Amino acid sequence: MNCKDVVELLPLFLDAELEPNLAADVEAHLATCSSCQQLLQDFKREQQILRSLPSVEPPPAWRAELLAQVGVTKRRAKPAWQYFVPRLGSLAAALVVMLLVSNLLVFPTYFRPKDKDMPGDSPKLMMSAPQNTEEAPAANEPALSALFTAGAMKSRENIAADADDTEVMALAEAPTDNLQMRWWIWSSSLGIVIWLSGAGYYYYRYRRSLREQTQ
Amino acid sequence: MQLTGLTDEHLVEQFLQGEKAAFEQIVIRYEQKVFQLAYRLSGNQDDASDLAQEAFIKVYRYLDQWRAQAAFSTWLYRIVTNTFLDDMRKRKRRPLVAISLDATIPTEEGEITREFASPEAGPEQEYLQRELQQTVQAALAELAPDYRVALTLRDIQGHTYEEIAEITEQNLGTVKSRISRARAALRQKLTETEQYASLVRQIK
Repeated sequence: MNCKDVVELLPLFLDAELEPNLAADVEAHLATCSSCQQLLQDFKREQQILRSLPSVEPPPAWRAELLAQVGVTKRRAKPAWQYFVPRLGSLAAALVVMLLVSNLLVFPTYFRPKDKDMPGDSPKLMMSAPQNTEEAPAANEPALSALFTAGAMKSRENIAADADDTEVMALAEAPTDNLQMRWWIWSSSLGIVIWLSGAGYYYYRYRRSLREQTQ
Repeated sequence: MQLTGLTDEHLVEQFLQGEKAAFEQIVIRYEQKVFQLAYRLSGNQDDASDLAQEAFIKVYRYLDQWRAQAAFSTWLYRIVTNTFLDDMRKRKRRPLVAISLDATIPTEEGEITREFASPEAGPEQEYLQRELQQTVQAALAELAPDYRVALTLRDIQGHTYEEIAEITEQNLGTVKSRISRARAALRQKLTETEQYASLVRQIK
C-alpha cells in the first residue's frame, strides 16, 4: 500500500469502519510510515476537538416563542386590572363626550334671565313647551329639566297638563348653579358609562382571544 | 396526564389525538439536541434559533404524515438537516457567516468542556483548548454544507454510521465516503489556517 491510498482510508480507519483486511493493511503501512502516522494523529486531534465542543442550549425565551407560534400555549395573561385602567382612547373619547354634552346642555342656562319675574309666564311657557320647541332656549329649560328627571315625552306632557304653577315656578326658579351641577352630574355619568363600556368591550375581546387560543 | 414517561411514539399518538401538551413534551425532550445540531450547522445563534424553530414547526404540521418507518428522532433530525441544506442551497453564493473568535456560545451552567488535552490542564491550557475549539468550529462553518452535516452528525452529535445513513437517507457506502471526504476537507482547511498549527504546537 502506498501513502496515497492510505491517506484516503485514514478517516475511516480512525472510526474502525474499514473491513478487517483493509484495516490490517493500513496498520502495516503505519508501522513504517511516520508521515502517515502524523496524519492519523492530526485526524484524531480534530475529531477529539469536535467531540469536546461544549453542549449548546437554546436561549431562555426560545421554547415559549416556538410554542406560541404553533398556538400550543396561551399568551401570558395580562392582569385583568390592566383592562380597566383607562385605555387612553376610550378615556379621551369619554372625556370629550362628557365635556361636550355638559357644555351643550348647560349652555342654555347662561341665557336665562336672572330676575324672578316668571309666574305670569310660566303657564304660557308650559303650554307652549310641547308645541313649540323652537322657542327661546330659556323657555325650554324647565321642560328639559323635567325631561331628564322622569321619562322623556311623558313627563313633559304631565307638566304641561299640570296647572300647578308653583311647581313650575319652583322649577323655573331653580338656581343656575343647581341646574348646571345636575347637568354636570348627568354628563359625567354618561362619560363614565361610555368609558366603562369601552373598557368592558376590550376586556371581552381579551377573554375571547384567550378562549380561542386554548382550543 | 403524565406525559414525561411516555415513549416518543406514545407522545405522537397523544398529540394526534388532540393532546397539545404532548407536543410541548416532545419539544422539551429534543430541544437541546435539535438546537445544538442547528447551532453547529449554522454557526451562529440567530440562524440556529430560526432553524430549530422551523424544524419543530414542520414537525407540528406534518406529524400526521410520519409513518414510523424510522424512529421519531431520526425523522426529526432529518427535518433539521434537510431544512439546513435547503436554506444553504437558496443562499447559493451568499458568504457563510464566519464565527468570530469572540463569539459567545450558549452553554449549560457549569460549562461542559470535554477535555482533549492532558488531564492536568492549567488555565493556559484551558485557554488554548478554547482557542482550538473555536478555530476548528470556524473551519467547520466554512466547509461545504454536505460535509458539515456529515461531520456534525458524526463527531458532534455522536451518531453511528447507520443512524447517519437513516437520517440523511443515504446508503452506508455513501455515508462512509462522505465522512472521509469531509474530514479531509477539514484537515485541508486547517492546514491553511495559520493559528491552528501554532496552537497545536503549544498544546501538550
